[in-house]
Amino acid sequence: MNFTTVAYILAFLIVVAAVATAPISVTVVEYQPIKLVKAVDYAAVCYALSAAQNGASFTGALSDFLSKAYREPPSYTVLEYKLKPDLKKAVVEFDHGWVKVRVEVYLRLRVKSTLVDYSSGKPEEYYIVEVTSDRPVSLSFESPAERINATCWKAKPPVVVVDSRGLEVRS
Amino acid sequence: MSGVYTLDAVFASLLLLSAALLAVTVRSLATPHYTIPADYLADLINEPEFLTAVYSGDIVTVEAYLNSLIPYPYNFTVYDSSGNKVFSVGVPLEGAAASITLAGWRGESRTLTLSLKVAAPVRP
Repeated sequence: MNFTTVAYILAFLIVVAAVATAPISVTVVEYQPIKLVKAVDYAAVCYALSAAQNGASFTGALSDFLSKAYREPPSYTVLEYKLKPDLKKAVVEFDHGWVKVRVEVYLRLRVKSTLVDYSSGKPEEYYIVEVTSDRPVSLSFESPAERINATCWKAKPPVVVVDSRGLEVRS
Repeated sequence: MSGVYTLDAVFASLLLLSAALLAVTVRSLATPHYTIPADYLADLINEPEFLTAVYSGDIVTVEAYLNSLIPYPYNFTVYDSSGNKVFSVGVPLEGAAASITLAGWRGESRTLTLSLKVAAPVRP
């Protein structure tokens, strides 16, 4: 038996071994990008704040959300929490161990002025209100409202505004 | 006579080297590579209107968000807390999914798991 014959046999064995073992090697990588962590933390605060305005416990709702979203829920500190008719706000810092995420969520309504409109023949009172939030959100008014600029609206009192996160403020 | 053995040894070495290269190529081709589309899922969760559409079962709006964001074939499936499929958008795909479980939205307590697969090309 010469070298070439042995090499043929070895080459055949190498290729067979490679084909036979290739699909077995599966590497599972657990991967938690910070972008997703920030998005989930933000959604958690939005949910907890909207649940709190419906009568639930803010921290209870937040802990519940985190325990379902993460295998190892982060610890958190509530830095600011306001649940007033004209302001819904929460600032929470999450500690994931490898990163800290600060989340601020709010929706605020300010009555800037009142005016009386006589154009319909009888006096009608309107509020000029300013609605601000931590990020652009779509708003829906319960009473008829007319946009004046980016943040100000002319609306009939009582002014009740709900945003796309479920937060509600009123004058 | 020794020249014949040398030529035989050289040919045998080349044969073994070729076999080794073939084996490496076969292994790399046979190993599946998947991209986890966590960045796309993060962008979607960041949109309050998207989550509102998911919770209200507004499939048209959900599909509009997905089509505007993802330039590749995708599969987006929503499961309830019992693991039953609520709805699915996109095409059937094999691969690794980015998923997240949400306890609720807009004050409504309802657990849903969002799962997204994208057939994006694998980055080297």
